[in-house]
Amino acid sequence: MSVFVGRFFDGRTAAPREVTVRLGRRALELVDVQGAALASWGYQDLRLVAPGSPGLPLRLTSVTSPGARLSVADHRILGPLRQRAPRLGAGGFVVGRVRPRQVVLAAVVVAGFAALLVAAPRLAEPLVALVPLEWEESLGAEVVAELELFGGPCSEPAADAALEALAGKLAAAAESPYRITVHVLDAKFVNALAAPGGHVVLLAGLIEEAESADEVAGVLAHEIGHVVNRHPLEGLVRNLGISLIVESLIGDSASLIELAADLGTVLIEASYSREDEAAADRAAVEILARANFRAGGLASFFERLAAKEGAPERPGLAGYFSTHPPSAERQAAIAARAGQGGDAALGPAEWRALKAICEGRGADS
Amino acid sequence: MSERAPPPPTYPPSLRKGRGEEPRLAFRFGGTVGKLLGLSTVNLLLTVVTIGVYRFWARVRVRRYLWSHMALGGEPFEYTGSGLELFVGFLIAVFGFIVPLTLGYRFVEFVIQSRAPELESVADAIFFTGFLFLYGVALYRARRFRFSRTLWRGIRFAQSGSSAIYGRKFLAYQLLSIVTLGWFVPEKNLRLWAFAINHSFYGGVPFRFRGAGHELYRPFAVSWFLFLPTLGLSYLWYKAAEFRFVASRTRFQDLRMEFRSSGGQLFRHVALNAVLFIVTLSFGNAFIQRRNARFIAANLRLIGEPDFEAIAQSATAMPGVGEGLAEAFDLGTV
Repeated sequence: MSVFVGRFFDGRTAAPREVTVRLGRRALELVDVQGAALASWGYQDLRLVAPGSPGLPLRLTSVTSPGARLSVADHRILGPLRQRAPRLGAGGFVVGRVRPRQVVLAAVVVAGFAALLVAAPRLAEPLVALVPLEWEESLGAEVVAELELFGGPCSEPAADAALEALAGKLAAAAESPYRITVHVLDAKFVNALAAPGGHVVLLAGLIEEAESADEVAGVLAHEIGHVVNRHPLEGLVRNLGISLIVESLIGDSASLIELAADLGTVLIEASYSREDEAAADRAAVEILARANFRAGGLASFFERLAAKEGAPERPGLAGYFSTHPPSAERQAAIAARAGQGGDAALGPAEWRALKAICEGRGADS
Repeated sequence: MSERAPPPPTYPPSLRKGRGEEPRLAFRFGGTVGKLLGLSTVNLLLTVVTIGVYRFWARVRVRRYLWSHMALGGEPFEYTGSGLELFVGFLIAVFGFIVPLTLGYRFVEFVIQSRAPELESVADAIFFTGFLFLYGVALYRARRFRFSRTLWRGIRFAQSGSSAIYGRKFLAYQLLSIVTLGWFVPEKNLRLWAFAINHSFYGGVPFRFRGAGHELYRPFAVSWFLFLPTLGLSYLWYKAAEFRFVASRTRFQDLRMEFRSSGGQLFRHVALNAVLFIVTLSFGNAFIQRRNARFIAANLRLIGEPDFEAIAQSATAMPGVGEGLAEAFDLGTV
């Protein structure tokens, strides 16, 4: 059968025109009721608007007149049409028009994302300079509060006083614009962390592992080195930026809002670059020197940890190195700068008090 | 010998004329569950593989399925949007609105907490009203976008009117509804319907709605008093009455609309949707949309004969990218 009936819509009004549809040799011929030729749609231009639905007419259009529609009730036209029209389509709702504006838009979006991902780390520094000190300190307090999930705060009057005094001397030597607040959390990991705004967190495992106050002072100086270089906030902004970009692609708005609201978890996952670590090391040595403390602590701490690394009965050790990668260069640099002489960081009584700071917390020692 | 003129073409009439009855235009939904199942499965797989980026294209494919299987007067609708539009709209809404607003909210929250803690509840109230306003704006823009991408007989639908005005009304009416413990709800619904319908167009010809809230207060009062005993289900019974009322007061050219579901029918429909949603852990969303389409098709019809010649493709520009705010707020049930 090569003649069908159909209904033609010209795309200018909603009025239908009853037509006869004839499958010509090269085109579909549409003839109206009076016998006048209405349109001739070449087969290569013919497209199906949607896959046919049983009981509903098939709908065809032509790329030469994209607003027009031809409705054919008899689905048997489809067979012969598929033979003649190679680009009929509509296996999956494709009308076959690619709007150039959309392609440009897509390219711009993809390029924008790629640029953002690359630039995000570098954008962190100038952005961080805009953040007021007070906001940073409050943010840091929030981060510490979240870290307390890992272990509650340890506090003991003599130890607290010792730490505060030590931190004060180191902060003065570092000429820190922040007030340095040291928190000790009762977690078995050997680790220390600098949060934004001058909040430094030492974990109980690290205090336990340290063999002298000089080592603790070394770690503290290192973290204060991060603080005065504003590394914590930069790391957070950097991570937040990347997370936002990725989440916006794969997540939905709820997860995005969560991300923007929950900055603490983002920081915990931050780790610093090699340059940042090296800078903190240099700063640590200078701070210790200026405060006139012995500088060997950090180096001996590292050496011991490196020797014990991988020991199965001390799983907590791995923590320190995962966030403070100890390249050979770092160790060499620290050892080279470790000067001679200087005072002890803490007196023996203070050191004992510090070692016992978490004992008041009871059962989970 | 000259050819005989071909026999006049016959075509199933779109306007059914019963004996002595007015002509009617009926809806019909013809999409099968099997086809939707195939579509949904492919959508799910691709969405997982692209870690979620595909979800905009998936949504468009479901819309095209629903639109193209819904026929009015024998002619199916058509959805002409693309996944890319939805995706770009989402990005614009997220980076242009959601992220700055959320970070701004955090900043204000911090400032208030440190400088003026007594203002905290005031700040919260301000943010709540801002959120309601944006939600209303998102609803209106989503409707406008979907209208502009919908064709019937090749002619586009359109929606005019300012989404900011709608957002303000939405906010004001929601607040009034809360303050009056719900008694303002029929008035709210009807006013919002009125604004939307009176700004809706098909091919440049406007829809018109004329109706006042007080006419619905009898069914609403009954449902209000039964609200607690029926655990809120009496609202559905009122809602059916509202749909019937709105349909009966809506006009297009000389056409009227008729919606004939009873409260009980609406309740059964929604209940089954809810069961489906829970049982399929929300993956059956497309099937719920299909059920909704069939429900509309079974219960809605137009009475009268449209003047198709007078319905012309409008030259007004379509909204650019897709309903971003609504996507961001996850309003995508259809």
